[in-house]
Amino acid sequence: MTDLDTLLPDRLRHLADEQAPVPDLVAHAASARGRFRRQRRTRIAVTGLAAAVAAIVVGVPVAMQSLLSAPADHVTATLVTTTPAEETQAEETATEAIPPAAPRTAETPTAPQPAPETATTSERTLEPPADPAAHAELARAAALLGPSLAVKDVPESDQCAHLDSGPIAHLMGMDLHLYTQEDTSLPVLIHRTDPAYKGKSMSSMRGCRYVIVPPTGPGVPGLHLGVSRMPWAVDTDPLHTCLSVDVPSSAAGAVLRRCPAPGAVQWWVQVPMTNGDVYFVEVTVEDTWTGIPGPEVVARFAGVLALTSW
Amino acid sequence: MDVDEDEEFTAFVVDCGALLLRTAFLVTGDRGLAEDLVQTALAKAYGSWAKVCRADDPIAYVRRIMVNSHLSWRRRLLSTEQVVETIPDRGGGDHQASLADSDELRCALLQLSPRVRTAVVLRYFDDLSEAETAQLMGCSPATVNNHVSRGLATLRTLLTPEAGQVLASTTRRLS
Repeated sequence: MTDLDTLLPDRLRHLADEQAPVPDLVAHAASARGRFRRQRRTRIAVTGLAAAVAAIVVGVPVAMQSLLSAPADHVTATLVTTTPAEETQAEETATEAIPPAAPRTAETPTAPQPAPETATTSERTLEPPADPAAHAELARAAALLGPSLAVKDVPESDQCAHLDSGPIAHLMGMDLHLYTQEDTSLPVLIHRTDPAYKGKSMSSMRGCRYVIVPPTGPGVPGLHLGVSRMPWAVDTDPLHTCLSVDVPSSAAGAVLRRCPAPGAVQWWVQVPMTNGDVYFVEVTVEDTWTGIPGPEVVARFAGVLALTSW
Repeated sequence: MDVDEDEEFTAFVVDCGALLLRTAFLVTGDRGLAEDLVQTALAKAYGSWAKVCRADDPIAYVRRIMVNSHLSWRRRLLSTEQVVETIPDRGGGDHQASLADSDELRCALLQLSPRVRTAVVLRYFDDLSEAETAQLMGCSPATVNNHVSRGLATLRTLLTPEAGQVLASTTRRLS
């Protein structure tokens, strides 16, 4: 140990004793408290300011972008359909328009009964979302459908004679079977959207359905086909999200609808039959479907139905 | 913070403030800076007073806050160094000059780097062990040993009578 080692502590103490400040320590404590509170206030103010600036910097462009990108008619349709008074009125209209689902037999008078206009009226008062691609698809499907809708009447459910009798048609490498189905997407959809059909089975709606073969086996991923006979026209689009168009050059009154659904696009072709009933050609093309485009699937399926012997 | 804690804090400052101020003066070499450093450390300690109270040694806790503030403050000061045309007058220069012996040591300490000066002060003034100093400064004992060795070597050179005169005049000119 050197001299400095032994002397340094004493010299440091001497230096500190001589020159270190000797303030009022109570006042020093009060100053420290004041400084802490001042710093805390500043910190809070700065944090709040930073949060406000961040909210403005991020929020304003996002809000502006969403406002600018939302088409005006889409906003109008959304606002109109979400108004409770409008919804109530639409429900009442639908309920009044749809007759009770009393069982009908095969001896139903064949005199044509005009299909009641249901939501098609309100559908025309509400503009669907403006989507150029969807409009183009709808127009293409309608053009392809025109010649292929000369379909014979779809039989009643109790006349689905081909139940389990093997494929009756072939489409895109898939066999189609005709059979009666109690619980399929159409009644489920109708049950979900239209209170008038709550609790009613498919048989009470008297439909026959085509499905992809085999009826009990696995389906084709991404594609669902069906045809349903209904005693009256139903509103397949109570939320008015579908685009619809009259099918040109076809059976009178045929309407094609293109309805966006979560992860899929649903196509509905509503065709009046000679006895006043209607049938629906249904095609659901999920986003995972990698085959030919939806409009062509609809046209080909309708064409196959036209050539099918019931 | 309630009244009891305020009183506790005031009592702590009254008890330990002088000791902290002496350490602060030695590591900063300036009375005003020392007071500011202690107040900075006390304000931080007041913000987490519950934690300081629960510590085994509250003085060591506050001293650590003070040393960390000093070293980071030094860093900030060094990184924002401002060039001025004229150096402002500082009070007490003549008084310090009269205290030649003490002033010589103060000037010598100021020649050390902040970390080396802090290590020397903590080891030889606060009488902390190498391990305690290392823990307080957030480095290894070997680093503390290195700092202290370098500091003593520099002080030994600066505190010779011949070097002392040069050092005093240089420091007076700087301040």
